[in-house]
Amino acid sequence: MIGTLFTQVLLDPMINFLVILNNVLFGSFGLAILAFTIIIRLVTFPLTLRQLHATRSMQTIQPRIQELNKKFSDPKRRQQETMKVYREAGVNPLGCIGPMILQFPVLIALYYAIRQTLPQSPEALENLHNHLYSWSFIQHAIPIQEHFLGMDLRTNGFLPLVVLVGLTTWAQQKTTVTVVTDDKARSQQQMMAYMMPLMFAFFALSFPAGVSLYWIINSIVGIGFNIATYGFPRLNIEPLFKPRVPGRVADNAESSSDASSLPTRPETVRELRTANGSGRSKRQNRRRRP
Amino acid sequence: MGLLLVGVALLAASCGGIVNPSGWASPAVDGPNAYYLQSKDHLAAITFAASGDATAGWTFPDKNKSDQKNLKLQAIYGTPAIDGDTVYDASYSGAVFAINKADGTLRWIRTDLVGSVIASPSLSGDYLAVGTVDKHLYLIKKSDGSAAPGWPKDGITLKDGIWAQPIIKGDTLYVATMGGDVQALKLADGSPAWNKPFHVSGAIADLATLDDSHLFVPSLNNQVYIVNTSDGTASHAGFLASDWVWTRPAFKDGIVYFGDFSGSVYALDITTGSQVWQYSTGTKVKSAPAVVQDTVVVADEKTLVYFLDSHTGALRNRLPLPDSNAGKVRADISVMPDGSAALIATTGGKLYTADPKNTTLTALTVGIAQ
Repeated sequence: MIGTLFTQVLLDPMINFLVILNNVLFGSFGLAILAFTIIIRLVTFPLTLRQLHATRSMQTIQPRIQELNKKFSDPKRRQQETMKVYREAGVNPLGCIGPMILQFPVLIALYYAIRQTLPQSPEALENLHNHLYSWSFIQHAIPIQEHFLGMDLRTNGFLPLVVLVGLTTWAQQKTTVTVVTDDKARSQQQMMAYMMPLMFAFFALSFPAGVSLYWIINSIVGIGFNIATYGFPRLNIEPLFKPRVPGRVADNAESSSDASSLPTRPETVRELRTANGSGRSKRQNRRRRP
Repeated sequence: MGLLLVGVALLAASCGGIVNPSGWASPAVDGPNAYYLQSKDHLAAITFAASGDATAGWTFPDKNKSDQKNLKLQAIYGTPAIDGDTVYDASYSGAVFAINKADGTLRWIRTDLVGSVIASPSLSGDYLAVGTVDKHLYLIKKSDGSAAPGWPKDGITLKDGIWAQPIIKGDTLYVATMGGDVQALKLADGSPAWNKPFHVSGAIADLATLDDSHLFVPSLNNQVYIVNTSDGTASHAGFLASDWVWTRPAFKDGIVYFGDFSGSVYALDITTGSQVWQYSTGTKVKSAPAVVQDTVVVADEKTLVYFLDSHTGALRNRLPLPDSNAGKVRADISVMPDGSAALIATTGGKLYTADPKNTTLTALTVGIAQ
């Protein structure tokens, strides 16, 4: 059931769209992958932006979370207070994961789509038939030309692309803002920043070049989104999208004497407040009315 | 962490999404013997017995033979070609080889072909023609595998990959490409024999001769053409099937029989190009049918075997293969040496005989030779 849904709703439309792009882009499957990756990233951009904002918001309230961790030894109380801070700040701790989980099927389908469209065996070409719509515009394109810039997009572990997969993954990591709570987490993050590119390069050794190409373009677009969202201080690049910064906890902290002593946010945050008051939503305000 | 999860998911997907080559060579029947695909990369010889069963002969490659134990053929799609005392075939690993028909010993092997071979090799006179998916067309000597005079060692490079069997007729070599071209080349030097190639807008994954003057040209754009061997023109406007046509046909008395990926089986009169009848099996037909007496034997993706009246297309019987784990029927169906039955091979290395008289299916038991 899930498999059928995945195939009919995501995989088949993607495969056919890839073939159409291939036809439109002069029969170049490499260009089709490039265009397709960019289009998919643009379509899922609202989700990506939500995820980036959520990560940013989480990072902003981390000092307060750390204070709570120090202040309360009772885990139950600590959890209650932490949740209160999240609530007051209008931050959903699952906000970083939710959009990413939603993107998962899309990414997996994209991966399958590229693999299926570049069949590596006669059986795979026969299998591709099951995914193609019967439009003659699509049928005439089969089989897809597998060469792009002198490389065979079906070749597994094409070394220059493997290296590029590692480099672009590293660059994407470097431009990503992560939620760091303490020194231990920071050192873990640093280690991951080097391990991840190596790991992905290792994965790429078993990927066909077409999938590696997709990953590289995907990472480059991801780097672009990160810079647009977070800016890039080293190059004095300001963010294009202003993040939603969590509301001021102290404003609502009267009910909790424990929380009132927590540090407040920097002054710069105030200009990002919404018309509903201190970063709260209309819904939150409605809830507070007697 | 998110990136890590994505990576792990992609890796998991990569493990599940690969369709590895598994081979589908159809059996070659030669008198009382047949040579068939025992497993995806192994050929085997059998001898038919009077009882209706068969005895096993050699297997190639044979791990007990020093010159064969390290051969990795990956998969075999080409029907073995038999000439005199030698069996020739080619493999997905890009090898072409000659085996002694009697004992399976290796006569010669070339492993330097550029690209995988899906097409069956074709024999004529002193030469063997082999095409690769990486666009190389070879004409080599049957005696030792070296290049034929006038042909380069690495063959001629065409514009597109070759999946269909190249066909040698007289002094001409006909070859179809996945780019939709059919070309006629002079055997002497590989130069064009037609003014221009015959071109269709879809890929051509199979090719067959019907008689001395006609080629059967199916394509993945659902069209089928009957092409004149003399000048490369189509005899009629293309016949539009319901789906991909990726099969060789059966041919008898001026009627060509073939199936398509929608499951339709057609009978076409090659003189007029008109349809005689059509029968729908409902699921994909990849293997070529066989005409035995006045019955068309055809198998579909669900491994149902149909017995159709060759004159009207009426269903005489429909039977599933006796074994549920037999694999798929992708290889062309052959006719038994005495012309009494059809021989069906599956991707699982099983053989079945289809008796059109009684419309029955029997698993061929291959016993060990005494």
